Amino acid sequence: MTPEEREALLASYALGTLSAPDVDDAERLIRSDPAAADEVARYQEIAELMALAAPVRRPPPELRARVMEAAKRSSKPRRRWRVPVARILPAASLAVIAAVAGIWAVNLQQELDDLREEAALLTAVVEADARRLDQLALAPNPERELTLLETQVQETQSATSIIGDPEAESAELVPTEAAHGATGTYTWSDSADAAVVVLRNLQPVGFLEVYRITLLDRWGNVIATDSLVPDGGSETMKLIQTPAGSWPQSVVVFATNQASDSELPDGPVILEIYGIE
Amino acid sequence: MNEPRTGTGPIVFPTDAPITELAQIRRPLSRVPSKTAEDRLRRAEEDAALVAALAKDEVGALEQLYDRYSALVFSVALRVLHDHALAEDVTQEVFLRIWRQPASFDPARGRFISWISSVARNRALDEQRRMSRRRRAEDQDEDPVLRLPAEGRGDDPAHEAVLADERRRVHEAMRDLPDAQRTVIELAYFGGLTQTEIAERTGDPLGTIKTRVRLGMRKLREALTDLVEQRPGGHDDSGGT
Repeated sequence: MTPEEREALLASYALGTLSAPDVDDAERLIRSDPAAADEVARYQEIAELMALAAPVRRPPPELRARVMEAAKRSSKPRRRWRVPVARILPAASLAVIAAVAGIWAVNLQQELDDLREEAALLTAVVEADARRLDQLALAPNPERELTLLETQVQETQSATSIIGDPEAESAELVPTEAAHGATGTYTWSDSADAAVVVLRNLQPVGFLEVYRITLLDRWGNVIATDSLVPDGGSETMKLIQTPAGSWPQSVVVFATNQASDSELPDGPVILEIYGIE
Repeated sequence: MNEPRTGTGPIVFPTDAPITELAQIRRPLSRVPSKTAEDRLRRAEEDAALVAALAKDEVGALEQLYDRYSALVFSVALRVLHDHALAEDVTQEVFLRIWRQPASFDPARGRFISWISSVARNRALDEQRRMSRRRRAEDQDEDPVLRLPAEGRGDDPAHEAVLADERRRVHEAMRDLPDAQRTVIELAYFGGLTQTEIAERTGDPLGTIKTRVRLGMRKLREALTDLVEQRPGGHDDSGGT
């Protein structure tokens, strides 16, 4: 690569104008060369200034009040709608009571279902932590393991908040013929810019093999990817950060070789979902 | 349009002149230290403090941040989306996101203005794609770069003055680029297009597009380097600002 090609690659990466294969090349270069990382950081600072090149237009005055009102409403987010039964009962007729009770029962059932689902996901998280503690007790290098554990605890806390986010979107991953009993749940929080993927009953992988989880946008561009090796438990949780402003629309879980840096399936897909809305 | 620059000494800008008049004044970009460098740093610190106050549910802090940056966010969103209603939606989403997740901004990684610009742009591009409202740049009926800020001042005049200085610098730097280089950078930043897509749109070879991006970004870096060196966490290998 000539110096000009290198500069073009890094400047274009900073500007966000590379297509997927070139992004891979740039990120490989950035990972291997601190000078390249520094150069990208400089160009990114310049790219961020480009917002100031937009012609100045002010939003309508009423938008300010709308934003502030929405902020005040969202400062104490309601987790779920609860029917004010105590207020309704005295004033309502028997028929209304019956109708309200019916609605309340439906909502209560939905709430119970939600809580059961949430509890199951949180249980998976706690069980994963318990296994990590077991590993720490047996570790030959406890200090290193402790550092890893601290990182994992932070991830767990983030995952817990995402799973508990009432505005997070959640979907069951669809098993393929290669799943062999594996199932999975995907939860994504826009406000946290992160997804939690809980995988269950994963088949053990071979030597130097991993499971890779890839999130894609609606055009099939890779937004984020991460890999994992089953830790022996029936459930495995993975927290995946997504770029600000991105919106994952598809999730693919596939088996691949550890040495592979492919973000898209080059091995059997075991779980997938497309067109999450 | 691009008259030659003359003189090397600092030019004193009248602080009460309209932004449009200030924008007409040309100066050697890289030789004159910005008169508002200290203001920028102070403003950046104030921004960080305001974001920290959001964590305590202080609506007043959100109001101040809105007054400072709503025009920037809205302008970026409108530039990307060409739709007032969608730009309003994006503006609301961006500020509500800041309100709900103030910790997503890390002052150690750069200035708030850079961060919020990036969030606004990404959100707008995402909306643009989602709504399939991408329009061809040549359909625009005006030159977005040459048309300088002309609307009323914001609700935070002191901050607006600092922002206006940065905005003028960026406009000047963009205006000094050859048209072809400026076009590809705009299509990339505001259009969210890849180099391949830009080549398809302009009909130029991909290699030409890559060269234009490289040369354009290099010139912008040379022209604006002192702006980024003044930011918290910004690079400064010049021995100080």
